[in-house]
Formats: sequence, structure tokens, C-alpha cells
Amino acid sequence: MRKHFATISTYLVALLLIGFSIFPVIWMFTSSFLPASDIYSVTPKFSLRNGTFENYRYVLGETHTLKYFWNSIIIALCTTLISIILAILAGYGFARFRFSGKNILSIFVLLSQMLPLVVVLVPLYLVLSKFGLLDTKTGLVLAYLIFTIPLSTWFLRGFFETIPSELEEAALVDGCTRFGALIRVIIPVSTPGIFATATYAFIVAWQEFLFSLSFTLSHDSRTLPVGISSFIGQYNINWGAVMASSTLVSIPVMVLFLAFYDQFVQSFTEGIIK
Amino acid sequence: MKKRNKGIYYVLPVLIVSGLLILFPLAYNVYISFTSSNIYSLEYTFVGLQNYKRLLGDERFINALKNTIVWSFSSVLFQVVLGLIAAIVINSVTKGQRIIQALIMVPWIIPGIAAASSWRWLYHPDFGFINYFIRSFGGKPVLWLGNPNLALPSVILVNIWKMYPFAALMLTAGLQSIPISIYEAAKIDGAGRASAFFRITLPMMRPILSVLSLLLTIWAFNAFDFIYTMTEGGPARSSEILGVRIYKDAMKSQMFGRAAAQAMTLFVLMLIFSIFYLKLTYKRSDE
Repeated sequence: MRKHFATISTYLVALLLIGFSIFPVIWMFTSSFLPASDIYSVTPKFSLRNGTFENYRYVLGETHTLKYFWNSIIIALCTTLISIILAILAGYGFARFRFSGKNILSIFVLLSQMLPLVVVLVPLYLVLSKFGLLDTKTGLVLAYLIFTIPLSTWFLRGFFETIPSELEEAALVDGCTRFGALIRVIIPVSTPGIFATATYAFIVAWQEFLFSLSFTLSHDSRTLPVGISSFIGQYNINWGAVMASSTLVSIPVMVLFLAFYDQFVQSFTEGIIK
Repeated sequence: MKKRNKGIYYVLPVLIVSGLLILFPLAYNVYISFTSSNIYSLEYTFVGLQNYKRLLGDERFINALKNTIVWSFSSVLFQVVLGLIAAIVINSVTKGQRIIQALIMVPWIIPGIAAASSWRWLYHPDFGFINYFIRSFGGKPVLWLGNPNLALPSVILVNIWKMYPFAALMLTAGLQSIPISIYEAAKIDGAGRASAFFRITLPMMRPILSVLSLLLTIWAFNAFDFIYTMTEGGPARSSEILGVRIYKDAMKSQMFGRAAAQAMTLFVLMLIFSIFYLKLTYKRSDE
């Protein structure tokens, strides 16, 4: 009897926590499909009987949201690509070779994670403007590499260290160069780890806000998060549009999360133990 | 097996890029903090420690610092407590663990901007769901983000909501790493569940609890997105934390020297805190 009580109360708490976690998100999602009459009503409407795509049509058709979405994708993809390539090289180097300054990586990672972004805000702004990189996607990618590269290298080093070196040994014996061994043997084996790391880098770059807010001036390079905040900054906030664009910005991340959920959690918990 | 010379080529790109992108701006920021530049130009006049000395009497800086401390410690406290509860729940359930964990993690996954705008909508005085809830119980609607006394607690709640799943994730891993044999030995010795929790679980979780708390505190100290989107630091700077203050001084007022000095102060304070914190936790674990 006592055991039943414990189990029931555990599931009850779980239900409360789940409700707490997902209610704001569900609310955002459903509000995005409501017409203005239902949104601006004093009693919230739960039913989607009046559901409409009006907000999405507005946001995608009459604002720059689509352009911002596209900018965000390009910037996040470039950042992820560059980070992963460099991180694979460096992670492999740190995992397999002996260095005198082996702790350098740890120091860099720590620094990049502890660094308040505002500390590099002013210098980056001045440097980017001097090189004409303000309001460009390139400038933003460079800025994002600050925090994606160290952590990606760290993740991948940890991952490579779990791969037995016999694998490359066999390839080397067959006449492969070390670099060839990396490409042909290690990378194919490491795809789960690489994907998890790339996912994390992408997610971080995708939702970045401060740099984008400071370094972009026009639709050319503005990313979606800043676009959404400019909706909110207006005097008469179009909440339907805000909810619709917020849902849009969440979709890629949710998709990635669901797709790589298991690997994500697994690499995360393993990394934490270390 | 481990060669000496080839490895450097693999590592060099990352070292160069990171060095350029991290160390150089950091050093440049230190330099800027010693100058005064009021307009967007590259003309600097060296003013020494003037920017830093000014901070001591700068009422807005002190206010932002105070808010940052309140924001950080309140957020982290509840993130950890709620995360611990969630971790215990996740660890205890037998069926549906995966989906429960996935659903609990949703706040952390949602992009910050979407979270901030959703909560701002929830907090809306007229059409927001929270005030509707209160009204339906006969209460008076509350001005959550518009009241200087409530603005900071309201955004702190959002911060708790966003990050407690991360705490839960880490703490679940920590709970799972405790060998069951210890619990069984305790049971044989007659320990009850509560006693087992306080005498075994918590002490064994101390390393992960302290790393988690430090990480969360650092992230809270450096925060910007939420508060800027939800209140822009208002009303009347009641929710303005250092990140927002510095952004405003740098980008809105273009007072680069002053912003740089505040940023360095924030950074140094955080480093000092981290060092003290780590020393404290390492000392304990030696006992």
C-alpha cells in the first residue's frame, strides 16, 4: 500500500513538472493559430475552432521574417560547419598526440564558457566595423566561432578518446597516412558523436541574440531572434505575429532535438561524469 | 604511439582561431577600458583608471550589480532545487522515463527568444493567461512586468523555468552514478528513505551539485537575452542586470570606455567568485 502511494505521488509530481515545462510552449503554439479576435480576448480561448493561418501568412508574407529565417540558417550552418571541421582536427590531435601544453584546451574551453559575451562586445564591434564586417553574415559567423569552437573541440576530444587506437593502427599498417586514417576510419565510426556536437553548436548559434542584436543593422544579416524582438519592440505589439514567429524559430531546434534525443542525452551524461 | 611533432598541425587551426577570437578581443577590451571614447570613432584618449573609479559612484552600475546578484543567486537556488526534484522523479519512475524526461526538458530546448516572448505574453496584464487565472478566482490582475517590485522576480521565474531541466539532466546522471549497493547496505543497517537521502545521496552528489551550481551561476551572471526581451531592464531599471546595462552603455550611448570597464569588472568579479567557490568545495571534499 505504501509503495502504491509513493508511486502515485511520484507520477503526480512528474505530471506537475511536465505541465510546468510545456504549458508556456503549448500556449505559444496554439496562440499562433488564433485570429486576432481570439487572441485579444480577456478570456483565453482554448479551442482551435477559429484556427487560422492568418498570423503565419502575415509573418511570412508581409514581414522580413522569411529573410531572417534564411539568414539564421546560413549563419548557423556555416558556424557549425567550420566549428566541426576544426574541432575534428583539433579534437583528434588532442586525443592522440602528446603535448607539453595539453591543458591549453581545458583553459580555452573554460574561458570561452565563462566569458561574459559583453566583455568582447565592444572590441568585436570596433574590429568588425573596421573591417567592414558589421551587418554581414560573415562577421556574425566569426563572432559565433568564439563559443562554438572550444566546446566542440572538447566534446570531440572526449569522444575520440573512447575510440581504441587499434583502429587507426590497423589502417596505418595497411599503408594509410595518419590523416587518411582519420578520414577513412575514425570519422565514419564517430558519426554519432559528430552529429551530437554539430547539433549542439547549431542550436547555440541558432538562438544567439546579443551579438546579432549589436552587429546587424538591416535585413541583410539580421537573424530571426532579433527579428522577433523587433516585433515586440513596437508600440502596438502584434502578439499573433510574435507567437507565430516564435513558433517558427523553435521548429528547427525541436526537430533536431527529437531526432538526436537519445544520442544527445547519452553523450551529455557521459561527458558530465568525467 | 603518441608522436611529438605531427600533432601540432591538427591542433594549430583551433589554437590560432581561438586565440584570435578570444584572447585578442579580451586584451583589446582591457585597453578600451582605460580609454574614454564617447563617439563611434577610433580616437581614444588614455584616461587610466578613471572609468573604474567612476564606477564606484555610478548609481546605475551599483543598481545593476545588485540586481545581477539577486537575479543570479535566486535563479540558481531554485534551478537546482527544482532540478533535483525532477531528477529524483525521473530516476524513480519505471515506466515512461524517456518521455517524462523529454517533456521536462522542453524549456531548455526552446530558443531563448521564443521563451521570453511566450512568457511576456503570459504575463500580459490584460490578455495574459496568468492574470486570467487569477481573475477567475476573483483576484485582481497583477502588473507583472510593469511593476518595479515584481519585474525582477517575474523574470527570475522565467530563468528558473528555462534552466531547471539542465540541472535535472545533470543531476539525473549524478543520481545514476551512485551504486545501488550502497543503498542496500544502508537498508540492512536499518536506514529509512529520508535518512538514506540525506546521509548518502546528497553527500555523494556534492561534486556534481557544486559544478552544476557554479555553471548555472556563471550563466546567470552573464545573462542578457531574457531580461532585454522581457523588460529591457525596466521599469525604472528595477530588472536591469549588468549585461543589459553594459549593452545599453555600449550600443545605445556609445560610451565604449565605460562599457568596457564595467564588462571587465563583471568578468573579474565572476573569476574571483569562481576561484573562491572552487577552493571552498575542494577544501570540503578533503575532509
